[in-house]
Amino acid sequence: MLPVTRDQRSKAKAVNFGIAYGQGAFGLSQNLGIPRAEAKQIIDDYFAQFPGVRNYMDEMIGYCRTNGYIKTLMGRRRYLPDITSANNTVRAQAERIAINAPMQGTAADIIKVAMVNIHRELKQRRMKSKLLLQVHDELVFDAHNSETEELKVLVRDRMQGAMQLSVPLVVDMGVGKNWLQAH
Amino acid sequence: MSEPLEDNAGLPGAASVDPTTDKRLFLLDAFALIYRAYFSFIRAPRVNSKGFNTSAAFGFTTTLLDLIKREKPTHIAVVFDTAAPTERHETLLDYKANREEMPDDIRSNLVYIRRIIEALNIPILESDGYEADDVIGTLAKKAEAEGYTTYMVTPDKDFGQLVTDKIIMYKPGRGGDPPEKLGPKEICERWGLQNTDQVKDILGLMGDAVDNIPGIPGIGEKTAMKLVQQFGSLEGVIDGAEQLKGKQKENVIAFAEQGRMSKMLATININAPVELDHDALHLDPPDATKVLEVFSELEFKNLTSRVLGGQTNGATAPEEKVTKKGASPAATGQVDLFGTTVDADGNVELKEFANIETVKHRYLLEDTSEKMYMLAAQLKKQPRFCFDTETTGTDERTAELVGLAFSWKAHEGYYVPVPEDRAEAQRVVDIFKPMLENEAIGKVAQNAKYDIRVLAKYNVEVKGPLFDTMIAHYLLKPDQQKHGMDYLSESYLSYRPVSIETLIGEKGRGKVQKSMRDADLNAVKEYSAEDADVTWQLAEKFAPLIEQDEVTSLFNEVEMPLVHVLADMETEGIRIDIPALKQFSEELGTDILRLQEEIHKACGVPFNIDSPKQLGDVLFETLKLGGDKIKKTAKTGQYQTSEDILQGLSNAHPVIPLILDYRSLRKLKGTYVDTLPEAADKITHRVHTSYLQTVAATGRLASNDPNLQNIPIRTEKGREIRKAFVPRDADHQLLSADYSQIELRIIAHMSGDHNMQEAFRHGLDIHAATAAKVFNVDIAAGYARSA
Repeated sequence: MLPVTRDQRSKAKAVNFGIAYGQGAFGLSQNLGIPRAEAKQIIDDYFAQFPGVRNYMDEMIGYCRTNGYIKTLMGRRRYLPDITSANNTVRAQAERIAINAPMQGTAADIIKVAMVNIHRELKQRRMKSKLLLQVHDELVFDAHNSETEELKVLVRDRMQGAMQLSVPLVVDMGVGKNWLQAH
Repeated sequence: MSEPLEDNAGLPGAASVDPTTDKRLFLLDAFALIYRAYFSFIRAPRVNSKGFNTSAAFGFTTTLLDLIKREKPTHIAVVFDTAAPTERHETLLDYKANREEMPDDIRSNLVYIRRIIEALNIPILESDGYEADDVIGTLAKKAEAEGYTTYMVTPDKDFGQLVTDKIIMYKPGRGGDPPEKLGPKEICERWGLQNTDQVKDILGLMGDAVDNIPGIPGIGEKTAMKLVQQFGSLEGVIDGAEQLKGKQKENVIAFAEQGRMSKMLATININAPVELDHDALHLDPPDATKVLEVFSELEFKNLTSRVLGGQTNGATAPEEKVTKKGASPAATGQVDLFGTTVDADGNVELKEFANIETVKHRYLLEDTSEKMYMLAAQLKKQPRFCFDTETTGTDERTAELVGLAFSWKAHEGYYVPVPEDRAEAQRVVDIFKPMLENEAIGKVAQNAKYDIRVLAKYNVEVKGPLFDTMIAHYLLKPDQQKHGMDYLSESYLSYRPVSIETLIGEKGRGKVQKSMRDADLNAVKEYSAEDADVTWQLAEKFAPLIEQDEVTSLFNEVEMPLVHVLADMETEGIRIDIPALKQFSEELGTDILRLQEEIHKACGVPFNIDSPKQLGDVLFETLKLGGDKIKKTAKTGQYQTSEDILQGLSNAHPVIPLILDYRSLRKLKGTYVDTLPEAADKITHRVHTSYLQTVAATGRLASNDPNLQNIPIRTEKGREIRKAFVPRDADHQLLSADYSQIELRIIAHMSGDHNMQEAFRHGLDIHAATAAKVFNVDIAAGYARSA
């Protein structure tokens, strides 16, 4: 078999992120600057290879239609009354949110749990290092030089262990004399 | 339901109205009414606490609600003009050119007006290429054929031409005057006509300066009336021109064609492509949640009760009774505007919220140390209590305590004034410190993060199970933007708390707010104890709802402990490298100047790039870019120069990428590079972002001052900003920890998809793994890597 090309990888990346936002063939074709037919083919192939994802999307929309809301793994709700709208555009938008919101919201749940656990641990251990910022899926700390290694272990441990999923949670970490360098 | 006949009982159309059976359709001419509403407040505009002029929305809404209350329409719609040109524009380029540009304070209100109409469940009608007049005329004629009586709600005299026994012109009342209903008799008397159709002839002759309809020169209203009486129509006048004399005769002959065209312009088209949809037009009850939302955004507090009466709880708390215990007797038995009962006089009474005047309460001032120790002893006995701080400001870092308020029982509250002297203040706070820090006693507060941060400055570390009513409501209604105490109180308790303005005056518009410390002590006691009481009552209301929605552990184990985490993070802040940002600012300044010169050179003229109007004129008129694709904004007639539009043109001319660069640098400089040093503490150089826990419907955190979520990271220049965030001192470094592909991992988990889970379990590059599957290629040869 041929190896994966850069072009194929970036297309796959666009599909992965597009899927998470309920994007269809039109959106993908715009995004990648490829013909709509090609985009549709890619998406069809994607769902053929990842049938569970297709299923999941249908389930979320179905759940939302029945209940009027969707929820995250921790039960955080989002109400989407437009899911039953007779207007196609309005309903399609609600369906995209129904697919995306459980993931976005679960990501929020996870990082919040991690923050609470890390903060508690820092206090209990009377560490000098401090949690400073939360941006998207990232946490930033002032790490005292005497504690850097301990902090790294603690943070990785609490972030990756914030929630037990059937796939591992992975954290990338860096240290530096400014945020760019650390990131 | 009984409805006494309105004033104009002599009117043929109105006389036959039997309100129980007749179909009465009201069609509102939106823009005419909005302009009229706006200008009626022009001397004393309505401005809300955010400095936003709400005259147009308020005036329009009042007109609409008055009409519904007074007339009890069975069917109703609001009709808007659209931006698309109409046949009239094509006939006469100058048509309506005399209209001044729409005032900004009207434009800014339009989106709210539409939301209000939608919240009231009233259809909005508009038809591209047709004016509101045409849509109203067409529907009125169709409705007439189906047995409706139609009221055209407008101050615009043109509509007179449509009036029949079943199509009435309705001019809303003004300044206490009742509305006028104009039937055929009134219209004919007004202009001295045989029939209402002749209104067109009058307008064709005299013209209409507002709409830029020229008419025939020298003919004013009186002459037009006389001529139409004599000749019957505009055409009759033109045909009979020989009978006229002097200058008038010359004009009628010379401008005959202009006269004919003017009549055409003044004629309302009754063949617009709109259908009479009985169901859609039927007046239904409002959507309480939406009404509350938009009214509270605009601060239309009095209007809320007018629309919703006792149902202000809407979908939020269906178990809530119309009147609350403790509400005044005057508040009982009242109905909402859309209800079916009216009192014996046919008036609809308006429900008021209960308030401090109407509800029995016990708010005590604890101003001696003896009383304070007694209060502390009582607090110690409670399983939980509500606390609230009163301070001198809204910035936690500078605000000083003015007082503490407590409550643990509905309609009871205690207020402890805290002295200005710091040492004395500390002594007072210390009396309550053990209770606030007691881990066994639950704490209720609204927006607890603020109180926690303020108390931390007085060495109090608030502990014990927390119940923040603001965040509780966010979990119950995540999509709602309103979680403030006043709003929650009105929605869930039908109770309107004392406003802060009654204590310290209004904000903004040149007024200086007093400090809480200078306000009357007794008033502050009532206000503050009430806050604690209301918050306590809200917590009692929300606790079972949190259970019911199964968000208890999310609330207790995640969101509540997070309040303390965020409070600490905000207090901590992060150090920024101010000299580096200053230098970066200078570099950006130089780049921006260089780009500006290049842009001017490329366009051949100097102009203000920051002005969308000038930029649009240069790009689309001077350089003639874009061909047919260029768009003007609907209302201002300016060319659109948004990011998207320019992106689409980026290959059309070398100047476009320069402009995009220019804009992104300006934005970077303005939003972050120049702003961060100002936001930083002058001594510590730390910026203290605020985290917003109740804003994003997704559940994510938001931040502002500065908004960290928006720092651009894709561009090299954007990354420079991150460089300016630095460790506290030489003993520290920054550590960043970032979840990798968390959303995709969550999909893999939630979907249970085997292939996706395998990819993550084997630590593969997920995108390469996806590509391998989708394109049927080999991942091992290319991108494999271990996690």
